Amino acid sequence: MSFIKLGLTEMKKLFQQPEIYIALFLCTVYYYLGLRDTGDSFNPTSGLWRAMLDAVPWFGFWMIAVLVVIGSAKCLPIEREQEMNELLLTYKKGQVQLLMVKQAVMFIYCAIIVSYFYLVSFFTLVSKYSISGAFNQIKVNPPVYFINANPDWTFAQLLLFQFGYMVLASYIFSLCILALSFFIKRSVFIMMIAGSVFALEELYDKYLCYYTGSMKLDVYLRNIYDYGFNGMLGHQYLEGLSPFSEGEIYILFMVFALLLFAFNLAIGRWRRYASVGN
Amino acid sequence: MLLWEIKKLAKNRWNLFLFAALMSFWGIRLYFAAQKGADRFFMTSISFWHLIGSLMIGFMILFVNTRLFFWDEEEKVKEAILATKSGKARLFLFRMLANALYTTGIAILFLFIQVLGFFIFNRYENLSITFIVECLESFPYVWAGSVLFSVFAACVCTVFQSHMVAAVLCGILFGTTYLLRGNLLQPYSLEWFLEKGFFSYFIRAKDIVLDSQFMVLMIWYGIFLASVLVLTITLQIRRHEL
Repeated sequence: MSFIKLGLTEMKKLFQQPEIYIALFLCTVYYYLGLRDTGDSFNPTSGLWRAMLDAVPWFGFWMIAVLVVIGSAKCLPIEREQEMNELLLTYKKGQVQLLMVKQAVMFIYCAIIVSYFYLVSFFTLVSKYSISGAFNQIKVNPPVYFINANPDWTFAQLLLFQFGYMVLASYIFSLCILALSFFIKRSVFIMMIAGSVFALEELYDKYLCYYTGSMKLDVYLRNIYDYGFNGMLGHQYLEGLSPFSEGEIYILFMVFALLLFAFNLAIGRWRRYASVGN
Repeated sequence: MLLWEIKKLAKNRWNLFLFAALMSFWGIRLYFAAQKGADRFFMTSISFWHLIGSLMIGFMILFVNTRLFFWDEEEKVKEAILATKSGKARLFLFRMLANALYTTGIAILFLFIQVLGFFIFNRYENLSITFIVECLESFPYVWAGSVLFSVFAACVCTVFQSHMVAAVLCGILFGTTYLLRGNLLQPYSLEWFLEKGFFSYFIRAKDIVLDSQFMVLMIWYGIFLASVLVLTITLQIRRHEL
């Protein structure tokens, strides 16, 4: 089976999971309600594109994270849960190719999820804001989360940059969850562990930091948040204190993703031998 | 049969992990609060169920209790279990009872952790009696909310025959309100139901009693849970599982 055909089969398998649609429905409802009710807090004079730029790091990244966690948690254990593991070990092109395809499929999955939430933002906010201004320079009305951005960029350019950033950030998150899947058998526990880590970091940011604020411990916890998955998805890497420029962040994320990709292949090979007792 | 089911729940390895996590978080919170004066310490102590307690009980129900209703499928013994001599309906009833009893046990243990934390970190006088009274006043609502949520999660797991679906559906409905609560509330709107109608609000100590729409919420919970139970039983009868 060719690489593409195998990819399509894996994609079909992933998109047949009912959990993804349940979560997609609930997340869409929450995201829509959030944008509808508090979308006015974005500057109403700034136009649709500026509002869309602020919506994803505001709370859209939680919805993206939920979907990424569920998809990634299901990706590897599907065969194991259907007791197909032994059969897969006889796959003539080898486990490495299968693993490469699965990781490629996760990239496409992340891109689809991020695009979906951009579409939801667009269709929700289009009734409130003027659609014009996509090619205005951002220095006229700079978005909150892009302090280091080049002021000569247009809103359309920045939106494209943000889309790429979100796809890469969610893909890195997804690769980490795939790495976790090599050590935990059941998808539900992978999902709950990854989800709990993400949720606890958010709870730290929202509530717990008020209690640890006076201690040195808070510096470490804050760094874990800022440079962890939450900070990555929540645009902390792009804020004023970040030492990286836009271009550097893309390179950094690509290096992260490649390293994780290779790490997962190595772990996958090792775990395969472990699973057959070799 | 009841003891056997409870034993299955108690042997789950996640119990220890979640209890350890709860004690660590609660200890850290009280330690920092104790340094900021008596009022802050007291407010933090009685707010146990508003965040850490209710969240952990939600995790416990989803990680441990709900798994009981998917166990047979997971262990590939469903057909054998359904051939039970004592009757399928009795088995389901006992599982629900075990689920409720175990949740009661967890809620009592959590209350114990709340009180223990208070007495370990308390450096101020005259707080103890007020604290104990607050705890005892809140506990019935916490207990009722926890048991109802465990029944709801069990029903969802039984209907979908998937632990993952139950965790996703109940987890999002239960948990998102911790992140989104605040300025979205318009009484009887969809946001209002999403915020208050899916058990996490019930477990947040006395919040539900102090709510001006308390009776409406009680009616909603009654109708909602009854409908879910009827749906579960109907589906199980159709699948010849009852």
